[in-house]
Amino acid sequence: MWQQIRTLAWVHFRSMRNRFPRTGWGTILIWFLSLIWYGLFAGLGALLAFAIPVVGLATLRMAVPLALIAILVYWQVFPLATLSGGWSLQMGKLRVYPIKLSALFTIEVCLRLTTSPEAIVVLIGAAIGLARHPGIPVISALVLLLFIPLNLFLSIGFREALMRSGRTKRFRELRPLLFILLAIAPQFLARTEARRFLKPYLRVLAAVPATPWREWTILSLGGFSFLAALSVLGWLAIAYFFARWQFAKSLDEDETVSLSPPPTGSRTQKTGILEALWTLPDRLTRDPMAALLQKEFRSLLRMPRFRLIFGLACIFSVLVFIPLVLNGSRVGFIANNFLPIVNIYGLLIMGEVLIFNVFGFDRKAVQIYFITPIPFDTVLKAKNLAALFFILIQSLSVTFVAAILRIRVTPVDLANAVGTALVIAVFLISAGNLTSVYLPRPMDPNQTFRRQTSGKLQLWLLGSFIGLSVPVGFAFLARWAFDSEWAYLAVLLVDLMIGWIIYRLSLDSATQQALRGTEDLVDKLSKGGDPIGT
Amino acid sequence: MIQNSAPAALDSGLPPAVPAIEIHDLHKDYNGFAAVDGLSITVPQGCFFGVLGPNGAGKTTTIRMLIGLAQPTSGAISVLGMQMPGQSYEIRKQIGLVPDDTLLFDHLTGPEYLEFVARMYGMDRSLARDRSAELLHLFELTEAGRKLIGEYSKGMRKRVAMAAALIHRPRLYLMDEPFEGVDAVGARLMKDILLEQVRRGATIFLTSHVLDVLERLCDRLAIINKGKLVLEGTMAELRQQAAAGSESLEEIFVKVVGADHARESLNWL
Repeated sequence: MWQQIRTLAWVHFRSMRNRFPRTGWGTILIWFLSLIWYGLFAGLGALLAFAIPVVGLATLRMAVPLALIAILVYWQVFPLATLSGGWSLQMGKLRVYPIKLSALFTIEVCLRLTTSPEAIVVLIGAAIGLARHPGIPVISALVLLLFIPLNLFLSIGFREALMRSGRTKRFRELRPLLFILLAIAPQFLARTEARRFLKPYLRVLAAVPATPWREWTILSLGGFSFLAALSVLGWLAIAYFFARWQFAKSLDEDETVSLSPPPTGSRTQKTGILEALWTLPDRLTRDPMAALLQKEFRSLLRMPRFRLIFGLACIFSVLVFIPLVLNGSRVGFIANNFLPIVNIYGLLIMGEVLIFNVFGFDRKAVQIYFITPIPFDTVLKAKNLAALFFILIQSLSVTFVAAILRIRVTPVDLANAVGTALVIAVFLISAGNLTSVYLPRPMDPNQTFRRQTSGKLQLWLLGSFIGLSVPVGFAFLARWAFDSEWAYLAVLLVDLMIGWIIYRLSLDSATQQALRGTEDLVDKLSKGGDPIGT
Repeated sequence: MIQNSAPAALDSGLPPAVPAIEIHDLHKDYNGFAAVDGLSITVPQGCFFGVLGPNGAGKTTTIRMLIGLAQPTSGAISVLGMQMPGQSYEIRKQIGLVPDDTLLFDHLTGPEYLEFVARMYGMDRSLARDRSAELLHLFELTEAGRKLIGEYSKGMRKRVAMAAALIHRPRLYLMDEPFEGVDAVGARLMKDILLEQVRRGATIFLTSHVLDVLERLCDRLAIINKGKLVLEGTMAELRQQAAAGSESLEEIFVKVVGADHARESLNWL
């Protein structure tokens, strides 16, 4: 078994090493940003290591269970809500080999360490702090580290269960809502009156006997009891068997089921709102634009990844900012610019699939745009129009959700929101046309949990958003200076005109690059993956 | 649904002497490696032309250059009397391509995909729908019409790709391993359709590893190896050139590409 595990690790690192010479500034920047992100958690871990020894045991007994609840929720929810599941085995590539389930499971557990390394760093820091505490035996402090395997097992179990449920139509549609609720909960609690309301309940929850946080606290603070030890071992066993059960279940599932889209059902019936949407381009424009737009609408709305991201952009983006608006007086920058900010956030979420890598879902089928007699700029324009359409829908959805939640929405607010979204979209699409042909990357439309952007593309994203802050910043500045919504809209109009010129230039440039580098574009979009997905 | 009257012969608009494909001293290098190395081939109009060669011989690269998906390092390509890449837009209107790896959008249904391709070739929507339905019927895919292409088997995907190549009645077909993954019934159907296309004046440029199919279908054959043309002609001319008597295409192929040398045996195998 260990030989196979070593081999899998070797294959993964070989493929990483083979890619390394092509590592560019984008990847280096991502490493740098990651270093800062994880550095912050390392700092928190170090702080805990030094601060805990001077904290009284009574305070620790109260704080540790709450902290463990927070870590558990963060570890299990954050990777799912951000669609970044860390490394995991690509079963489709491995199941043909005679590898035992136990070997695959062991390596999957090890790979899960990449899901939430920040939580591990914090736990290690806390364990060191407890070990240095004069009132706590070192051996007890080490029990805290057993919280790591508990979370590893649970994250495997939940991930596998959710991945499979994502293939069932009904659950797939509910999943984004679940994420939204889970992801919004901590901020909601922290920022609103609900905190006061829920605080006593949280304390009660922290004290519930036989819960992992309570039993781990008892043991790690030196209060040994057989019952607590039995509980900890019991939780570890439950988590282990849950993970193993879910992992085996996923493995058993027929590969064709996992790779193919969900059953068709009434999807292709020629009635309903979707059919009306798909035939809309025929009424508004002519071929080939109409056919290309139809193809985009049909394909995108059937892709689980797009649907999830679109759903998140429409609803999640509102909910994520609600606590900031509901916080007390309802004034301040975010409260005053709620809709534009929410729209920008929604665009950030949708950018990966609609703007910055427009051929990602087409993958090797991108060739069809080069072998049929249509101008390539028409293809790009169709992709851009489809993106604008979904951005407009997102913008209106956000307004609708905000109105339902009784956030102030006036016609001027709506104009501001749509105007801001439009201006930003034009600038982003201009950048996106270039990244789509210079940095194309195949995307799996059925893979909802994994980020699929390259380091270089993320660098472009960062650069684009920094660049965007200038024209949009001027609009905000104008409103502040003149205290007028009209000033804001006027600057947006100027921005739009500038954006249009930039768009035309980028379209020409992207078209020329695509025709010059057709082979490269097709090759990059035809690439497969490694045995371990990152 | 299918019209019983014989389809009209293609009006090529080209003098018969103009070849459908003319490749002259074609080179394609990848980082110093010559994928195609001085290839020259002439394919007459209305010819069923087969190309065979070992893996990596340059067959797919040649097809990719013919359609404009890859740019030659040097050399000249003329397709239906037009120069590639200068007149690539006009050339693409006349070509039907079945690549080795199908160009299908997995999240469209078969009819939707065929309609999409037809409209890309400038056909109006109603005609695109009619032809799409007829082709699906011809390729026995009508019942799978509501399924997404992502749910199709490999053979069904090939059949849809073939239908997409036919939908605009091209004058030249470029086909890279079109029978790969297709069952015997499907392959027979595809062969019959291709022969019918040749009869009405279309030209077919086809690569395949199924040598007996090539032997039976093709008017002319070319064997390429390491990017170079090794033999070219009718089956009889190939036998003559290879001094092969009445040997089959497989035997000629093995002989000329030098694959018949004694293999070392592995003790453990």
